Amino acid sequence: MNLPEPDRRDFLRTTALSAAASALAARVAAHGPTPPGGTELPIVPGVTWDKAPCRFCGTGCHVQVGVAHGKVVAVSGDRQAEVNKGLLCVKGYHVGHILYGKDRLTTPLLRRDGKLVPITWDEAIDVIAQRILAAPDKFAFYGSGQWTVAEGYAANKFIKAGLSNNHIDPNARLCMASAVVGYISTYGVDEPYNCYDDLDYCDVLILWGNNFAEMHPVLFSRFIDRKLRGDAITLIDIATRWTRSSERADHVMIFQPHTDLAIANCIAYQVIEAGAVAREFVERHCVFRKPWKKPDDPQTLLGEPCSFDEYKQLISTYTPEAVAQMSGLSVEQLRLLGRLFIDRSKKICSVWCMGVNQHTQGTAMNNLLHAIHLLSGHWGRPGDGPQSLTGQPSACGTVREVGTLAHALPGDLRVDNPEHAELAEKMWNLPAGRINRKPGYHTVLMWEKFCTPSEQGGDIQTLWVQVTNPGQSLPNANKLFEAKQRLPEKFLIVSDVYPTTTTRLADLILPSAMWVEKNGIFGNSERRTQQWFRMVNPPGEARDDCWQIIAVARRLYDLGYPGMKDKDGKFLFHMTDDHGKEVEIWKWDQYYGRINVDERLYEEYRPFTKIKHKDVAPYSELVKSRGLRWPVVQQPDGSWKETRYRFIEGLDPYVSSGKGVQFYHSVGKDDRAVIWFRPYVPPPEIPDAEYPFWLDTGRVLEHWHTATMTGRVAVLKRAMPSGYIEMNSEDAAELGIRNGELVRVQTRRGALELPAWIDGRGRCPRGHLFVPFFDENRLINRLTLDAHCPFSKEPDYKKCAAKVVKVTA
Amino acid sequence: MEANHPAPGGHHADRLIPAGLRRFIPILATTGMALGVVGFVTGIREPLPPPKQSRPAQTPEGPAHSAVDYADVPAAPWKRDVPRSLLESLNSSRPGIFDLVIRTDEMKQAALADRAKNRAFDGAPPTIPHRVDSSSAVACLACHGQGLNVGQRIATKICHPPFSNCLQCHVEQAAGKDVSVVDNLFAGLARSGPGERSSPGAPPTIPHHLFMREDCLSCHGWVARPGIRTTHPWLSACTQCHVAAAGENTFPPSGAP
Repeated sequence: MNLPEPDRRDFLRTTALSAAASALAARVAAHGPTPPGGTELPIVPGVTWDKAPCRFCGTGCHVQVGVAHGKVVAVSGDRQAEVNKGLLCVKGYHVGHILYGKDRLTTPLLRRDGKLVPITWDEAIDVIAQRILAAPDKFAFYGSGQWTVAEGYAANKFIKAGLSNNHIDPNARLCMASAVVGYISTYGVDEPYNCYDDLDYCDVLILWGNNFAEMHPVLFSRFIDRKLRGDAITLIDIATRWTRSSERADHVMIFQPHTDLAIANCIAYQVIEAGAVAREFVERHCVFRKPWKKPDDPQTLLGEPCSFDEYKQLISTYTPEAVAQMSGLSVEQLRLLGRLFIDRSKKICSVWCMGVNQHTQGTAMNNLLHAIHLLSGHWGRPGDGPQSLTGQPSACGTVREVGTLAHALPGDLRVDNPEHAELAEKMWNLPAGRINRKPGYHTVLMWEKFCTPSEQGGDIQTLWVQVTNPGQSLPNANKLFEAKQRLPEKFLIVSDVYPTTTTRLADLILPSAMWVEKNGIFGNSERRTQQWFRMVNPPGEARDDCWQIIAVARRLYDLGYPGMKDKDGKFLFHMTDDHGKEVEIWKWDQYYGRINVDERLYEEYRPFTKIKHKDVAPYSELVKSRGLRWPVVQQPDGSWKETRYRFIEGLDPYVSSGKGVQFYHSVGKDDRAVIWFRPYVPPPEIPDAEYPFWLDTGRVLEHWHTATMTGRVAVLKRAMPSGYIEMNSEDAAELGIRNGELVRVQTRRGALELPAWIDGRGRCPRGHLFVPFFDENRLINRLTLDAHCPFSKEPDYKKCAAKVVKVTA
Repeated sequence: MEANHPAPGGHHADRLIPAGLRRFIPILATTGMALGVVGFVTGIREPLPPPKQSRPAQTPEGPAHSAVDYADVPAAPWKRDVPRSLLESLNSSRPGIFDLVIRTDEMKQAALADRAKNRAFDGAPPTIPHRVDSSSAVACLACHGQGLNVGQRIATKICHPPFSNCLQCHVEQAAGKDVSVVDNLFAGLARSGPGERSSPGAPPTIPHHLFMREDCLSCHGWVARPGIRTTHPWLSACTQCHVAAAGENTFPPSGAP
């Protein structure tokens, strides 16, 4: 074969990648889908088992749910699930308990004269419809990465197609918005190109500010258990505090908060210094960009093109010696990271979650992680690449893919792109111009507007919250949530399953069905769409969130609100049975029965996913599988095939033949990924003489986020009963604080008393504090900062300045 | 067990010591033994200053442990804190493989009830009924690798292949004040047994699934709760005679509405 040089190289690369693809296929053939040990489940009279994804994090483990006499009685790891291969974490094993907390909300409650009184669903729906009718443009929807796909889709259609209002944003804004913007500005399209299989193939796993062992325990085990099987793997923990992940790490690198930007740039510097840039790959598949024309200008999202020489010049100040000074890592540690990326024989997987995303430079940090992998050629082989992780079960499936964001439409369309809006209007059969072209308020702004008096520009009057607990999870909660108490004209609607910090201030509470009390679809962190069926009935009057939205939409329709009709005058959620007869799904007794509303909404949504080649699988295929990773494409034999690695020929069906690697939605429409230069920028608040500590917040293994569910499970509550403040032992000694003693932590925004935990599960370096946010009696988010990334609008919960004093009785 | 401890002092001393000093021997020996016992007891306790308290929310219940006579050591309240090396040396209550195993219905019910105590439902990973100061798998496997039986306390043998992150599934339980507020109506699946016998005396079928319970000896071996111990530990191929309950494979999923 006598190919010209670049083509020959590409051919070799393609061949190598195809070989990897075959190896993958062989592995699947050898190990799946039937796991070793068979798939039998306990055979107990009266117990039936069915699959469902776990209700908690973004990992997307599958569980088998045992149901007897209409109640969930047991949960088992699902051995047919590729994600978890039968293993769960302690939350997952006890996920069945979350349905049965004694204080489940079972009836709609309206606040009258300060007291919550039970009302009927009919009254509740009417209250919402009247609030919306009074001011449709001052209504906002605050949703969730725990919304099922159908719920998010219905909410998005309801507000954008129905109310011509784009004030819809999810809690996922607080969680992975930086990853989204990082992917879009690097590859032109959102979500990882790779998948969890990287954990099975990598030689080195780098955790970037990510306590993997506690936050994604099943994935952590998937990697770390390879050591028991004799695999020579290395774990590197780049962190700001010592955690359970550090315990298993081969190298723990504790850095000064926020200097991760410099550390990533230092790796790029060393790759260039050593002449280890993956020249062929970079020349053929990448371009360089810088964030401004010249260094003193403000950074922009799409920046300016720059040459490799210029990039090299910009990165030249990030020498190991200089970065060691600012980051607190030693030159040797930085050199170790450099050597890893210089050596292409080892496959490196970088994973990150909140440490990188909840960052005032979150987009920049995401860009840099992609950049060091692209630049060094540690990209594309299974096991060799960067991958972000999500914290909610459908942050990807519902928020990112359905587009329940203030600027987005399903299928990665944008409201402010006229072509996109027109396309969505066509697909939804709407009159031209129905979709408002102006993006709505992002999360922080939405709550700021809701908590500001109307006469001072607070133009959100009614806010409907579903499947999330912003009273506890919003940053700077005194400003963004508690201020609502003083604004009687504002109206807060909360759909939830238990009383929470948020329902405390609600004017109307709607009791919701949860998890296996309803049909649902989630999409996990690795592009896997997962479906489950309703297995038990919700308690009392509790009803599906999706039904609640449709019922309000119908009430508005009945009241003559024109937006709830499509171009032909049909109801936006018009559905018919097999005989073409309309099913009145806004009536609860018809919501389940003749048709599967979840399936109908999903199938209505599915064509949107083809626009950006994110084809989700047909519902009927999801029913049969433990989730499928998009794009899922039909084969000539009629079967459906999922995609493990995108943009790579032989693995992704949308890569043109002969391209090898093709970023087919690239930023510059040139099939190239962007290698970004993003400089170190100091954080907005830095410890000083008055507030000398860094305050970091986060999660623990036993509780999920604000613990409204896990806090009602005795096993989990007993394992982790209350919030605490983690302190460095020397700092504590200097302040006269002993283990277990009560400490008052204060920032410029609030103060909180907590018991100190010194040298416990996690260990802070000097000058650093850590407080978990799960405890509803100790609301640390009243102290955190609402400063956010300029591009992703994601706040930084990981660093602000604080002081601590011992509480003396 | 305590008898195995090397006696301090010296029985040979009387032959080597001049006769005039022999009358002091009982005093010397007693002093030596006393020092030895005190030293031993001190040595096996955690270093006192500063007292390490690793849980903020946990207040010690009951009075502090007081020193005990050597003879009372097996029942002493602090024995749960005895270091591992000593536990190993105390591991003498493991029965012989051909020892007669006595099992009664009462013992069986007691064993099953005890087993259910730290499981939220049949198949849930058991919670950890003791303090955990090291989260490494090595620390867990020191006792649970082969199982350990000390007095009435049993550290069961791990029933599945070891994973490296034990605390991912098994968590410690603190008896904190906050916890009493957890009010949950979940009623877990009870145990799935007993197995079926085709005729009296025939080997029973295995009534539970074997996933994550691959090692029968964990519950049924010699280091296990007496009531559900095998009566024939010398036979090691369990599934030769005991088979999983004849069963339907429940996949593809059933019960979909």
